[in-house]
Amino acid sequence: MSNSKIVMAKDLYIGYENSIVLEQTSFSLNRGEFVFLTGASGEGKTTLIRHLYGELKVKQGYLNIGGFDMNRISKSKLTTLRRYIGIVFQDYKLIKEWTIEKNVKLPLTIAGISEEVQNREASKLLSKVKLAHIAEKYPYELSGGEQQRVAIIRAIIHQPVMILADEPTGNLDEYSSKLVMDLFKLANKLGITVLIATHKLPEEFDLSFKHLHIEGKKIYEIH
Amino acid sequence: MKYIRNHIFLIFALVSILFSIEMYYLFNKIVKTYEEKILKNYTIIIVAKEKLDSEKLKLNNISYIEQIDITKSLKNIDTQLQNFNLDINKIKNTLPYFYKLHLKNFPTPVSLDNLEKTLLKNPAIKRIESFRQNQNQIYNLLLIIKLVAGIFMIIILFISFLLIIKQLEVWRFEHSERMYIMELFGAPFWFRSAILIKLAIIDSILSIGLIFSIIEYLLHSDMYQKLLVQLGISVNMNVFYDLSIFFLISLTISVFASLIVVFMKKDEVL
Repeated sequence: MSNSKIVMAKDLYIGYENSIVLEQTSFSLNRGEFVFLTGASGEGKTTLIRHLYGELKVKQGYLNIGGFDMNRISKSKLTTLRRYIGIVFQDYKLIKEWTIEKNVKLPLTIAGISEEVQNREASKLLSKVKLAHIAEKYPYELSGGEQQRVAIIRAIIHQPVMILADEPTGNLDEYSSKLVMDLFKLANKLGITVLIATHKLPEEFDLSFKHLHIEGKKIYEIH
Repeated sequence: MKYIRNHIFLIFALVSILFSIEMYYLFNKIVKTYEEKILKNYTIIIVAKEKLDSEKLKLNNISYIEQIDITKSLKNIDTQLQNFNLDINKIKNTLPYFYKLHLKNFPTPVSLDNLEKTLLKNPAIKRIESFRQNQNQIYNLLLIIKLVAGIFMIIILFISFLLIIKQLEVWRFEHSERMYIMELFGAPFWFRSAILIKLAIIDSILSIGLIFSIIEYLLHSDMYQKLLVQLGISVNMNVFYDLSIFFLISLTISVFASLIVVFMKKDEVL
């Protein structure tokens, strides 16, 4: 795999035990790209994302993420790979027993970064998105939009190589969606590859992006 | 209240394990102290054709062998039978040698059988008197209690360990979402398990406190003190040493169980 490719899929078959979601499909993602993955509900956007962070096993074909062959990756290497990926979910997946600050610092804690640096980075990013005042609050005290922004900060705080976002604005109003998209743009400006799965493209988007579309068990590159 | 409800099963299981170990250890110590007491007054009498010593007998359990001076006994007989004018020295020379065999450990009926058989194989030995009646009822009762405490300890260990595993599975279920999130962000095994291990350590400390109170109460209870008086022994228990051992046992069991529970988890991710 060339250095510029962060994801490469060739003749890929993915799905679940008794069903195939994508078949004989090929695509690739370059480092630093901003990618929208569109498709109707149930076409396989979430399934593909779950394969990209190694939650599901490839059925057939070749899938390489960041230099790791996902057919042969060991448990320990997968753990390592995940430290270079930031994941954002539609339902945020914040740890409800932890404060926002602690949630945000999770990837840095896992990476073994010092407490001092963790605090500094968390405070810097929370201030940047005007959420510094909620650092000591718990997820249930926040609106959906705020929780999603926190989830994105958590996904970018350790400066991953790639962010995978599954319907990140699916539960949000227009204003919150815009704030969330601004954060993804910010991450992309930092050089992070961003892949957003969504059922429709945003109406206004001022960055160049790649558009992949899933339909009929295949992925098509629209542009 | 919720904390107590959540933790009672693990604490109860740990206390049960520690209590059963303590009971086994206590009875072991009582039996050993009692054995030492009766061993002081216990000897096996050997009648031999020739002079014996420890080396000739070549037995492991022998503390020392002591020849019985029969002159005093013969003099007593001579005093009682004045008309006969016994020649004590002449009689003494015709009599066999008598020995008291002192043992290192108090023998069980089986080991006593084996000891007798081994001794009788020695051609120099004519007869043995092992005074089996010294293995009195109290001693046998203590042996039975020790055995029951041992069996009880094994059963409690097994059942309580299963209870601990079940409780930890409940906790793992309660914390499964956060463990899953950590796993998605590449948290290593120890990091994801930390919450369970932390809970297990806290409960280990609480159970140590509880078992300390129970042991202190028991060791100072009238019932226990009367038992020691009746047995004529005193048992020195180093409670703080025992507690440090218990803490290690409790910690090992709970942490080991936590790791088993996390290891046994069906993989949620690849």
